[in-house]
Amino acid sequence: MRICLVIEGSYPYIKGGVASWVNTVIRAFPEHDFVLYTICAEDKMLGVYKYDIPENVVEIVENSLECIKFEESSNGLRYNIGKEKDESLTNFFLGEEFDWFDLFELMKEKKLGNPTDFLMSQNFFDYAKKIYDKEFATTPFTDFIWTIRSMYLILFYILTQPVPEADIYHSVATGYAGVIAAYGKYLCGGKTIITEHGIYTREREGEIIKAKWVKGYWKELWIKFFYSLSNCSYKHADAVTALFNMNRTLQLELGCPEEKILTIPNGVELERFADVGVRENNPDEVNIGAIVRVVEIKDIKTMIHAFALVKKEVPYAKLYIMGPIDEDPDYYKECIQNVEMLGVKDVIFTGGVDVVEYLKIMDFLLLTSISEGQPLAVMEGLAAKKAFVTTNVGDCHDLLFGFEDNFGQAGYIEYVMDHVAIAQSAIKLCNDYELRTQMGINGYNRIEAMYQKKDFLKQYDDLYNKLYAEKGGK
Amino acid sequence: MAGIGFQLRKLYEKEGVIPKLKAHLYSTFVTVGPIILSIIVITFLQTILRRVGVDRGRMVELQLTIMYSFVFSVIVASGYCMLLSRYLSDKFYNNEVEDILPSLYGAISVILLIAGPIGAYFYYDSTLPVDHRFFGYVLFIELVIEMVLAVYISALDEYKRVSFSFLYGTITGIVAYYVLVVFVKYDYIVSVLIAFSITIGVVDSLLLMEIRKHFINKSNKYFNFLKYYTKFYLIFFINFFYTVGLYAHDFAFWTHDVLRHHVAETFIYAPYYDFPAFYAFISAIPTLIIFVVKVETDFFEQYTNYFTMINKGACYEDIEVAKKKMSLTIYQNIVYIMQMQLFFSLVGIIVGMLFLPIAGFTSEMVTIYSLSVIGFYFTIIMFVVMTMILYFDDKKSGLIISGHFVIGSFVYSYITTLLGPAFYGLGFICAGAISLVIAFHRLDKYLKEIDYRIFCMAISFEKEEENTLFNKAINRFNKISIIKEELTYDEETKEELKAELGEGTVEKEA
Repeated sequence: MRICLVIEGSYPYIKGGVASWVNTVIRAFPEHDFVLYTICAEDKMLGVYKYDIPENVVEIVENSLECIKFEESSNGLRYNIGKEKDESLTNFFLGEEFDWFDLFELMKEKKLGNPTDFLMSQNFFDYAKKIYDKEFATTPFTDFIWTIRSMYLILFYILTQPVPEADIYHSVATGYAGVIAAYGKYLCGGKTIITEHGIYTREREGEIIKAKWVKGYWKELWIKFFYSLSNCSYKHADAVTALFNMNRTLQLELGCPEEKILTIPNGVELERFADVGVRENNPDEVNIGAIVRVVEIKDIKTMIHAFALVKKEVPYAKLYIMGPIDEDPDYYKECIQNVEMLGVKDVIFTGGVDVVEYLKIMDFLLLTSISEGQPLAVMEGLAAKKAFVTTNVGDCHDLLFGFEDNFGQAGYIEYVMDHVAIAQSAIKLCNDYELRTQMGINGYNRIEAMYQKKDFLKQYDDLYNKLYAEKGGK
Repeated sequence: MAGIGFQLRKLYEKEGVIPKLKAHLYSTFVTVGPIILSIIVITFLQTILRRVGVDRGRMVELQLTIMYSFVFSVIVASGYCMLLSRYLSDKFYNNEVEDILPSLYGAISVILLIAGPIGAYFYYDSTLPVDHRFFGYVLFIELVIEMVLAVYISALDEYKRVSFSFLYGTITGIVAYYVLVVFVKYDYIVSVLIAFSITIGVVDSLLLMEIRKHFINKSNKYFNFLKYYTKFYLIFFINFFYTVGLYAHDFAFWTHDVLRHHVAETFIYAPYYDFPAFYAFISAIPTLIIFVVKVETDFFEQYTNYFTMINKGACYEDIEVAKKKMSLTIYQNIVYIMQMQLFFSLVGIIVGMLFLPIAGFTSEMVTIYSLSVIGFYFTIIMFVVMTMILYFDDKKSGLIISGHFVIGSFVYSYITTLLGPAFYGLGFICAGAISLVIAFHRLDKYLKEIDYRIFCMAISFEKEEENTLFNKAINRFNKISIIKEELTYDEETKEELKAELGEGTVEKEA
């Protein structure tokens, strides 16, 4: 079976959750050939891989966003694409009901020239003018034209690039990658899977809202654009997978048909943590651990503030922050300043260490992130039978409290940035050995039943085989 | 993205356009100015020298020497000067003034390489006296140089000094003539040529001094303007075609066996047609003046307004309003100019009918004159419309119009030479009128499609200089000039250079 993985801004260029997931999947199925269709941000990243490429990767098609630029163009051409296709494209640009295959057909037959020529064409001007008249009639017109051109540039560029042949197009996000997967399906007749770790549309939306490079009135334009990319992804996918239940709900809200969605959580290898076990009760000693990189999104400062409150009640508590400190040195410096300012003792930044060894001396764990997907740190901590205090982000709630299961509570969930509440829960766990032991065991049971690596790989294996059979492969 | 958004701005930024327009208009003046001057001088000589009793044949030879010098210097320099003016306005826009003076030297050298052999070849077989030929040649070369200088002068805004240099030149010329005729007792006819050469020589020198005063810094880019040929060759041809078209109808009559006169194995002309046509040209001058005034006030205001709207973030509706206003102004201006020119053309016809017979015109020649006035009416309006089109950088239309004009001017006139005397002059009317219709059509089309033309205008990036043989050769020539320069640097310039270089390094360190 030949599987084309479509990956945007991740494996093999950048280490992280999605990338290690991709790495796991490729290595888990040595019997399949994988083709990687990758999109990275800069030219200098091309060919520079952070992972060893497994042998079953037979081809890598690389694209860099940096090389997608406007080129020397002709003076506004007029493409003759027929009335039907013209109406279809009008609907596409106006964000109305539209068949992506109409666009794919035009691109396949190269009816729209090269991307720059098309974006500079009279046809595109007409479409842009319609969008403008409909929703942006009071905004600066020249800016509008260029904004909308640069917005569509990447999309039209990738649609002029050949998509490698494959039986299954597996995209690890919606967005451009999702469109490529759909286009591959159109061109080569494969099947399409979309796996979302975060919700791409929501993430882009968040970025656009915060972005300074997009002027206020264009933000909506961009957000709608990303919605339309997701629409394409969901519509043409044969299966859509979500990591956890909350994401599934979001996908449904974004218009993904319910029958397509499968929830396949990530998994951990229980064996790795078999030696860790429950720690004995030492009166006068409580070690609180945090498996996090020291970066802003993990909100280490809230953790430090919470620990300062813990320290007042439980003077012998210690906080171990286990994770690299060199990713954002400025933020790390600010954290150190925070520690000094609060005068709180026993905050230990270990840097990157062997987590398994350190887990052996931890009593329970903390996670104060502002945003998470399905945090591996929590799953690993639970696999090591440690109770947790986490913020209510991503899948944390379901990991600690379960979703329609009876394993019981594995820790406490508090609001993001609420250091007082986080401290109160942590104090409870500090003072109650029985409670934190029971919660750790509850978590372990849940992981054992539902979040094992072998289970999640099995589900993908089944999915691949099912779709391959549907496609008519043997 | 920002880089692309600025494309439009760069093209239409106010500072970029105004010098371009001025240069454009001014060089247009220069192309027609000399011919007017030649007509005045010839008329003047006719009346004065005839009284002194100069040989008629020699008189004609003198007139033709002057006319040829003027006409062909204009033709040789026309397109070339357009390129130069583009080069200059870019240099101003990019604030690279140090490249300007070197390009003047380069430009004069190159045009002399072209004009020199042409003039030499022309007088080579001539049976004219040697001194006549020599000063005829000098006059031609000086006029070519004057065309080039005029382009640079137009950038200076020193019109007063420039007119004074013409005045000084004329005074020197008159004094020289007086000295030559009264004291040296030199030949009347050749003395006129010598005096004329001195006049233009003085003008050239004064203009050159004026330019040198303005551009003190010098780079070594003597021949870089030639690289503009690859970029703006259309502009070159548009201007060249238009200029040749102004005379091509005369050339058509020079092919006519009966009308053609061959003088001193040197000059061909057809006085029966040429003289009426030359006089008719005067009637078109009012438009050029009205046009400059109208363009610099009415039209330009709307034009700038329109592009300001586009570049400074106006919404479409406002742009649309500005566009409509601009279109309206364009058409109003054209109609206004047409009305005014109609009046002047009618006056021209009446004045011609009254006075030309006195100057020895036959009634047939007066008719040719009147028809030519009508021909120039269309031609000059066509020129106005074409220039409007060129403000929008629609070179393709410009080429279509001027291309038709030059071909029509010759071909239609040639046909009339076959059809007979009753048709003389109609050929030029056809060339002008049809070109005008084409020009109107192109302008109308442009204004209808202006959204596409402006907003879908081809993206072009400043490319790295291509390593063509042509560019290599130019760079080589630039280098040769440096070597020469280094040898001739005096101590003072060396000090200046050192100071400049010193400043440069300080800046870098900072």
